[in-house]
Parts: sequence; structure tokens; C-alpha cells
Amino acid sequence: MIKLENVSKVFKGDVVALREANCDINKGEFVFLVGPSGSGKSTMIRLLNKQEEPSTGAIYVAGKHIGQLNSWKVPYLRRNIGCVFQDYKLLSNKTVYENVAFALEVIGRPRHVVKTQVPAILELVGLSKKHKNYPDELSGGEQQRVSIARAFVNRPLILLADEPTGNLDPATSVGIMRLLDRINRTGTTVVMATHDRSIVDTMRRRVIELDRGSIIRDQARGVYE
Amino acid sequence: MAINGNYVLRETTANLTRNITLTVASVLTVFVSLAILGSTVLVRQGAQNATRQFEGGVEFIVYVDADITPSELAAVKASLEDNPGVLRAPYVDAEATYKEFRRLFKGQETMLENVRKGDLPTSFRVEPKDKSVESVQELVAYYQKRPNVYYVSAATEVIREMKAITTFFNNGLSVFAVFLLVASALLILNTIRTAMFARRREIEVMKLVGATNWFIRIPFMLEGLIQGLIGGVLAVGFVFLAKGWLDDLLNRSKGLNLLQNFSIESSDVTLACLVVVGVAITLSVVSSALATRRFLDV
Ligand SMILES: Nc1ncnc2c1ncn2[C@@H]1O[C@H](COP(=O)(O)OP(=O)(O)O)[C@@H](O)[C@H]1O
Ligand SMILES: [Mg+2]
Repeated sequence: MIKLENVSKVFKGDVVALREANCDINKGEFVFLVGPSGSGKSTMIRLLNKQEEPSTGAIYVAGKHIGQLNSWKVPYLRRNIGCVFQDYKLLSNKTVYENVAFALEVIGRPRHVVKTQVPAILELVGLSKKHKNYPDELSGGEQQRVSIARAFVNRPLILLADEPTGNLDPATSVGIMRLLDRINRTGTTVVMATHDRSIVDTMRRRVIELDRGSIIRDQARGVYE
Repeated sequence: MAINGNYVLRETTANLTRNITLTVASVLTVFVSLAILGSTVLVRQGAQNATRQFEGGVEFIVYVDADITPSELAAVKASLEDNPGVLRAPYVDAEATYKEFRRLFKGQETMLENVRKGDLPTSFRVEPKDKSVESVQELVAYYQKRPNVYYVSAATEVIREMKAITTFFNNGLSVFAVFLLVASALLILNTIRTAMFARRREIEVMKLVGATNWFIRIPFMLEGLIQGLIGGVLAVGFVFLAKGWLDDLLNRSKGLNLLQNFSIESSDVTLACLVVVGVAITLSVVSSALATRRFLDV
């Protein structure tokens, strides 16, 4: 599903964010990217949906060499990749329902699809009752659920999550992890960057550890360290 | 690409109303610049109608008698063509003369009813080699006395002045209009950039969930186009007003030599409106495209 071949990313000023990274992630896997701050986790995530271009190396997503993708095809690649962030990126002037519906509307999904998919996904994340609320009326955990609903409402093949529990307390984080686990069990490949030790240790999934841009460990059913 | 019309409509109106002060500024600048542009087109056309007979270097017109025989006509023609002081002297036949007459006296029905094609003297439009006043006067005096010549009409000082004044007036206004057009293009550009900046979080989300660039662009480009079109429509309204004022002015100054032949026809108004709307569309599409281009990369 995802394959990195000798991928490096060098930012201006010779900052090496990723060095000769190689890995192969299968369909339906759940992968943690771990490592200290600045080790290149976000960079790797951003390379996967073409928010950044690699300096060298090749990245394959769903069998396609995304470096050779025409720029007009990038939006269609992204429709297959949901994204969740530490800061949720919700639109504060839209309700919960509108935030999720927005993701379908802007890719031209017809109204009847929006009308059936949005309530279904809000049910899945447990926010049906709050569909009329605005983001600032929700707790952090609830906001992250909305953002997961928005990322998943189009049923992408891949879900990328960059420190989704970074702003949440441990108890709330557990709830978010349950949700991501459930999404993973529908067959969606999940790649999650985190430096939350307890989450990684309890989930026991594949762990890829980064240190100053290099992959130093790639372990099935691993722990944080 | 499926585009939800509802979405585009909602977003475009939201943009236009959210930015109301900037929107009004753009619309007004577009309006003023295009109103000036439209007026210059009207004045230019009017002056052209008035001086059309004396276009292309024609300095005087030799009218021949209405009952001239073909051989007499040939003699006049030869005298013009053989004259070393004459560069060109094309003949305007009865048909073309009558057409021009109908144009000049449009709206004056009694005139049109009472004059028939054969009644009008035909003429030669003479372009002399030397266009100085003295040499033209000399030629005019010479042809005035030729047989079968009914009348010689020279490009008077009035017409020369009218040409000079309208050219000067129009060049000045055109420069002014161009500056204002640039200002309105920049204002539209700025309005759209501001709208995009205000909505950068939405745009970011749209890109992440896979909205196409055109889908993101279209509401903003429509916003620019609508500003341009509203300004353009107001300017078209102004062109009609200006036509009314000019007609009034011309009616009141009948007999005033300078404006005698100055006339603005409906085809001139149409031309002015087409120019205004065409420029409005081009201007707003180009500036919207430029404004939204920056947001296309990733
Ligand atoms: N846009 C950028 N421009 C320059 N340097 C960057 C940029 N993004 C990340 N970096 C650098 O790349 C390295 C890895 O960053 P990042 O991938 O964000 O790490 P992590 O997510 O693991 O904390 C850091 O040294 C960071 O400063
Ligand atoms: Mg990071």
C-alpha cells in the first residue's frame, strides 16, 4: 500500500529531515512512527500525501509512483488518504455536521451521498447528538473525533494521523485510539506519528522508530522502546 | 469534474458580502474607468462621423454638376489625375453619395423624403501632395473655376481644429482611463487575495481532502468576474446617459459650426458598450486568474 525507496528529504540550510528511508507498509496495517521531536515523523507523513516532495528516492502509494503523478492528479490521490492532525484543523464557523459535510462537498459528492454518509460517520465517532454544535463548544477529544470523522467520511484507503493525541489527556487518548483501531479493522491502513509511550506499548502494533531522520528500528508488534 | 452549483453560489455570495468595502471599492473603480473609456469611444466615433469626408488626407472635395455628361466627367477626372499637385482623387458616385446623405440627415424625414438619388451632386475627394493651407487654397481656387464644377468644399479650419481637439481630448482621456483600468485590476486582485487569505484555513482543508484546484478557484474567480461585470454594467448605463447628454448638447448648439456634423449613432453606442463589457470581462478574468494562481501549488 505504501512503499518508500531510499527516500531523503533535505530542507534548505542542509536540514536533513529524512535520510535514506526504506519501508513497505501493507494494506490494512497499523503502523506507529515514533521518535523524539524533530526526528522526521511529520516530514514522513507529509511526504505520503504530497504536501512535500522528497529530495531523492521514490514513494509509492497504492501502487503509484507519486513523484511522477501529474499535478492535476494529486487531488485524486488525496481523496484516498485521510488526514488527522494534532490541532484538528476544524473550521470554527461551521458546525460539526458542516465540517464533515464540507469534505464531501468540495470533492463534488452529490447531496444524497452527503446526507447519508455524514450522519453515519458521526454515529461511528459517537457525536450524533452534537452535530449542530460548533467546534469551540466541544472538548478536545470531541474535536479530534470530528476531525477523524472528516478524514474518514470518504472511506479512504489510508489514514494518516500526526500526533492525534498530542493535545489530549491519557483517558481521552484511549478513546481516540479505540476509534482509530476500529477504523483500522475496516481494512484501512493507518499510519500514526506519536511520542506517546503508553499508547504504543498498550496497542502492540508495528513500530517504525526514527532518530534524526534515519529509520533505526522497524518492528512488528513493537513497543515504544 | 462535478461542481455543485449550490456550493459555488453560496461561497461566491459569502465572499462578496464579507468583503463589502473592498468589493464596493473595486466595483466603483471599474465603473469609473470603464465609463471614461466608453465616453472616449463615443466622442471618437462622433468626431469620426463628423470628419469622415475628410479622412485619409482628403483636403477638399470637388462636386460636379448633377447633369454632367460622361465625357465632361471624364474631363474633370483627367484634369485632377494629370495635376502634379494632386496625389489621389477617388470619385464618389451617385450611389455612395446618396448613402452618405442618408447617414448625415438621419432622423430628418422631410429632408430624406424630398431628395432622390439623382438630385445630389457627385464628387471627387482630393488628396493633394502638399497639404499646406496656401497650396490647398490655390488648388481650390483653380478647380472652383473649372467648367462643370458645381462647388468645391475645402477642409475648413473648423474641421482641422475639431480633429485636433478630439484627438488631444481622447488621447488624454485614454491615458487616464488606462491608469484607472490598471488601478481597478489591482483592486480586484487585492480583493480576491484578501478573500483567499481570510479563508486560508478552508482552502488548506479543501486541498487536504482532495478538492481540485479549479474547484477551489472558481468561487474566487467568479467573485472577481462579478465585480468586473457590475462595474461594466454601470458603465454601460453611463454610456447611454452620455449619449443622451451629447444629443442634447448637439440639439442646443445647432448652427454652431464646430458641432454641425457631429453625430452619434446607435451603432456607435453599441460599439462603446461592447468595448466596455469586453474590457470588464477581460480585466476581471485576468486579475482573478492572477490572484488565484499563487494558491495552486500544493
Ligand atoms: N518546512 C520546513 N522547513 C525547514 N525545515 C523543516 C521543515 N519542516 C521540518 N523541518 C525540519 O526537519 C526536521 C524534522 O522535522 P519534523 O518532521 O517536523 O519532526 P517531528 O515531526 O518528528 O517532530 C526538523 O529538524 C525540522 O526543523
Ligand atoms: Mg511533528
